[in-house]
Amino acid sequence: MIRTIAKKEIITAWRNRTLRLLYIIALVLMAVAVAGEYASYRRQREERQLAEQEKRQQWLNQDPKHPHIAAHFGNFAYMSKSGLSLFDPGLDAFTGTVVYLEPHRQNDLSFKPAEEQDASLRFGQLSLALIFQVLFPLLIIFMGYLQFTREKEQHTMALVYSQGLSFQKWYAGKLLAMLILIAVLFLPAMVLVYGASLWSGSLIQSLLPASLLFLLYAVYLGIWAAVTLLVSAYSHSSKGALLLLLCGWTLLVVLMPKWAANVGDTLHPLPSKYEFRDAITRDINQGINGHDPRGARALALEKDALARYHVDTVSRLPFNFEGYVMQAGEAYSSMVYDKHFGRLQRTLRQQNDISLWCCLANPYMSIQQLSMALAGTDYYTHLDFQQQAEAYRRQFVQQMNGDMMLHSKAGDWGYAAGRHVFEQVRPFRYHTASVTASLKPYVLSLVSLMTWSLVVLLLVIARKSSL
Amino acid sequence: MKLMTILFRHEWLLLRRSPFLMTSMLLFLLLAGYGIYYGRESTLLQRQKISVIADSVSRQQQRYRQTEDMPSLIRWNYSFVAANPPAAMAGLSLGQRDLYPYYYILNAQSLYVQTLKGDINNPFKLAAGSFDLAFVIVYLLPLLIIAFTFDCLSAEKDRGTDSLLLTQPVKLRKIVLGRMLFRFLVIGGLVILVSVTGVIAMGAALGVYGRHAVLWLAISLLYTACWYALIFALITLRRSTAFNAVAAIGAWMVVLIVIPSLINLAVSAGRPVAATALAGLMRSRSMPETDEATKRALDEFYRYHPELGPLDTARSPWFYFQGYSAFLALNDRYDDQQVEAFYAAVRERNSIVRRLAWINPAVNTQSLFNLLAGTSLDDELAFREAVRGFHNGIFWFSNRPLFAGRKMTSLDYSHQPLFQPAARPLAYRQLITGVSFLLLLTMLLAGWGWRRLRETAGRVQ
Repeated sequence: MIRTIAKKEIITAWRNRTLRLLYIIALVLMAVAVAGEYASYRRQREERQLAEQEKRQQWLNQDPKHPHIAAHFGNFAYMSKSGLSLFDPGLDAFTGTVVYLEPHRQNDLSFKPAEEQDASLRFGQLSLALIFQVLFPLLIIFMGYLQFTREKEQHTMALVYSQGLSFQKWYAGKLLAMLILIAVLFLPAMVLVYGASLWSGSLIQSLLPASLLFLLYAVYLGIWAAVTLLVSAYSHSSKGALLLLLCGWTLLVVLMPKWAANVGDTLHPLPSKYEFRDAITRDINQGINGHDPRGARALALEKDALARYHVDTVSRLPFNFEGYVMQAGEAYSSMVYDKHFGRLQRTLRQQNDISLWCCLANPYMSIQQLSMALAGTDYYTHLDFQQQAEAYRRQFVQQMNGDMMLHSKAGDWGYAAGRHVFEQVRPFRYHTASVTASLKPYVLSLVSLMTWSLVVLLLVIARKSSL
Repeated sequence: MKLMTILFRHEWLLLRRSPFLMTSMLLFLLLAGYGIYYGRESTLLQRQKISVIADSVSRQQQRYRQTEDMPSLIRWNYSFVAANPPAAMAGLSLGQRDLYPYYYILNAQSLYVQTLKGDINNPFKLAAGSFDLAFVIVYLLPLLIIAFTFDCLSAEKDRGTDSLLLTQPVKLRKIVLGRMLFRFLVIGGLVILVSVTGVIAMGAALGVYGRHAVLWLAISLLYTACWYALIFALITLRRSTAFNAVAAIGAWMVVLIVIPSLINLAVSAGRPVAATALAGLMRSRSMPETDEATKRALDEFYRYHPELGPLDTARSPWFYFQGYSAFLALNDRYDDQQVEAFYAAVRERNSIVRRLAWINPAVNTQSLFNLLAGTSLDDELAFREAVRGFHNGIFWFSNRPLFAGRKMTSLDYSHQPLFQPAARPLAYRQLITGVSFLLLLTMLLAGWGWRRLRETAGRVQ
């Protein structure tokens, strides 16, 4: 029975010329989105590789110089674009793409692609994710709002019920028809994404997240279809159902996400860079607890080293004491940075948590977050990159200071390290987080999608088969 | 005239009795209020932070002035602030401002080493964008207009009163127009209300910014008219209420999401501008501390500044300091060329985007708002240009005494460089072009609808 209903609904829908036209437009948009995102993915990957190589060569080809001065020449960490960014570019336009790594300070990321464009950029960039998240729900509303109200308005409802058909079966038939109609558009998109990943050579890494992504999108679109049908079933008129659904769409897709992000910004303001740096400098100079000034720390360090090696002056130490002081200073400043960056990250998380909590009420925001997470273009991937870059910075600076400590004498700034020392610093590589790790911050979003599915199911079961 | 009075009274009753329309209006006002509040708060916060920073830097300057007179040290330790405070109307349309640092703290070190190293941001918030009045007008106002007008004509058909209406001696056109006019007045009133509230809340001095305020109002009303014309053209197709609703929302989506996002995709894929190439400018480059390298830098430097060259062959006691400053100046010179080429590419790309955006009323209106608010990309580029000029002044502030081989004097301090923000007069050419496109589109749509209404007037469909 369910199959018969579904077949009838699909035939009816397909007779609609407007719908066929919409399908063609949607397919064209999807193809354009993938082609465009693929082109920019390829270009950015090439640009990044070129820049990385160039910077690496400059590092290696420095004149022989004192290792600490060489460390000041610095290295770079470039954010690599994930393979699935061609599906969902997420925050890529708004996170910096490169960070400069130098001793004594942790820099922020530079060069957000959005900085180079004017107002139009803020309207978003076309991608499959945008099409699925924003446009498809509207298409679903257009297809589904009158599914039941029409039966009421044309007085066919009584006829159907008199045949002994239950609402649940009828609903299941209609839902099946809608899902098949959506799948007609959804499947080509999947093929496009898998194809593009294969083409760009990232298929193996993308296979699991991409498949999960499609599963979650199927659930998301399923929720829209189910809710649309349900609203249609509970509404008295087609117009009422349509208005309710459109208002819901506006609220969930246009209003809530922006509002939540802005409220977060107002409630938990970020410090200015100046305040932030100032606090760090203060902590480094006066001690992280405020009672341990720099000079006292240096004295204690000296005393400790002398005692440990049983000598009476630093010149008798078996290493360059200046290098030792530098390493200790670097370790201390790292501790201070950790404290302040930890605080900053907390503020940022508090800002974003408001959006995360809103996910519970909003499947659009849920899928938006999950999609970015799986595509590797969300906030936490960006943070992970920043942290890996910082770990790399500390490691290479320590490496250079270590060389200074072991191979030069105190006060001897004439010591020069050469290419073989520079080569010991490995180039930076970003290691992608596992799928489970990238989904971890978004458990609430997953819960939201499941809850929505469950609530819809209960409402369908609860509905009586009557007029 | 009498007809209009009857119509308006009837419409007023309908409006008052429609919970849907009343709620929409109320919601619109609330959201506009929030937008104004958010814009005001974020600009106030920026102004406040700038003043704190300026205070603190000026206290530091004070300290150095009293204790230090060696130009070689002043070079690195005596800092200046170049601030870009939000313009008076910035809070109404925050535009691109949230993407850029709104101040720089600078000394005589290389400019780009100091300005390129990123800022503290929340990328998630940046992607979501600002909830300011411009957002409420550009995105939400059309939805309110759609809610008010989509069943202007088809509601008669739904109730079966359309044929009754045609039996009356009054022309259908007049009724439709009267209705649209009433609804336009209501929405126009709301637009004026929120705009005036916004301008007052920003505390802009009307003597200076009166013109901006009037232009803001005019552009908002024109944008409203444009959407009215679009919906008017749509309802003259005389289809069902549901079709109108679907088509109107579809049009909203095409104008606000599909077209702009397509343009952005085309631009980012087709006309790449790679800022990453500038990353190398952040690198602290050091000159080998040898006589030879120092002399080479100085020789080249004196070619650009022969007036500073030494009069005899005796080596200055500040030879190495001078050499390093020369090295920095030469680096900046080279970097400037790279940065300039980059900005030229950015400008060129944006002029293409701008031309494409004119046909889209939403992007066009947003750009016009940013123009009035002083929050566009061009404003930012002008600020950076001014920063570059200022940095040049900062370089010479300590380096002129250094090359003259003397210490800093109180005269040097009293003539220390002051940051001159870029003077940005209203870009009338851009304004006129943008407004013309908006006007043209409105007239085309309204004209088309008017013709259709005349042609199909007597028909009951």
